[in-house]
Amino acid sequence: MSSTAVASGKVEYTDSENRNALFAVKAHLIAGLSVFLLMMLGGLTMRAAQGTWIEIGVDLFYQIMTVHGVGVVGAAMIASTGVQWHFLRKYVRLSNAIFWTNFFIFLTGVVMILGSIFLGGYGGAWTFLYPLPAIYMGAWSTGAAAVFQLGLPGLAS
Amino acid sequence: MISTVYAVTLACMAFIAAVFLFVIVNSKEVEADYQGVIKKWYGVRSKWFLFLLTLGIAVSFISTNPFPIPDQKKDYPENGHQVVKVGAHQWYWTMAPDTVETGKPVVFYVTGEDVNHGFGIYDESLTLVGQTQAMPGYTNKLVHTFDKPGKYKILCLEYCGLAHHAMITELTVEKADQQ
Repeated sequence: MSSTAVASGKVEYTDSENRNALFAVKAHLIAGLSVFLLMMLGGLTMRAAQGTWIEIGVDLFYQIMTVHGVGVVGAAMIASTGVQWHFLRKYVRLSNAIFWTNFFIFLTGVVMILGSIFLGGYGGAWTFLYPLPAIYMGAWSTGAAAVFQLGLPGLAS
Repeated sequence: MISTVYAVTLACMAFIAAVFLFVIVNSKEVEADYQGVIKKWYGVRSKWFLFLLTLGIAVSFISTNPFPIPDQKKDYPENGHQVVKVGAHQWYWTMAPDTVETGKPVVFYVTGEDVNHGFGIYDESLTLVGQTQAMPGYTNKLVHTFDKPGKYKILCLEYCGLAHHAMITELTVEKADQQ
């Protein structure tokens, strides 16, 4: 497919392409690890609340539960995308620009999801089991649920 | 609306399948790395697969014999069973009647009145003895025969909103009269 492919099947890139790619891979891995560490704090908070070490409102508890569910999936997604991309680009010519685009779509998804949960109050769990996101007994709004759902594909990008 | 969802889902699945097919058709065979390792491992792999398959079948057979769940499709004679109608709401249960007796099959007809809930029956030591999904628009049937009298707890097993954890009620099981 690529004219730069050599006999061994490996693709050759310029030095600056390689530097940029490594930087992008690290960005994906650091983002994944940061989300993962934050989710550990979320998990600890929920366990502490269940163990009556601390007291938090039920709305906040289920908001943390929601962000925790989506967060661990998102962390695995972004980190594994980084690792796979790192190895795949050795054999298939891949574009750094698209990889960075993926990273910024992910960040957009994170912002939307955090906003819908902690500003919009969405606490319907990341599984989004219909019709709970739409029948919420005043705990959040349809808008918050919609922003959460729109943020999901960003996270999964 | 559901048929639209089916159509959209099927279209997306077909698209993804087409992408996979495209990649497979257009890919060429390359010389694999670590040829020696692959050769060695492939010899073990088929034996390992047979071992896992046998183990899986054996464990499934042993652990489900006798099968722990009664026949859910059986029709019971009119006086041979008890019927309990269960409604799940945000965030409480309606259950009529809320008292049954031991030894005679109880058929629970369970539905969700607003969102999805989970109908879970726990004995006094809080061990789950039976459960089914409470879904809006559907009535699910759960057959269970109680052996021990006592106060059983009904807990919600599907996250249904902010008071999900407080959705608890009680089912009384009385000892059947001597026949």
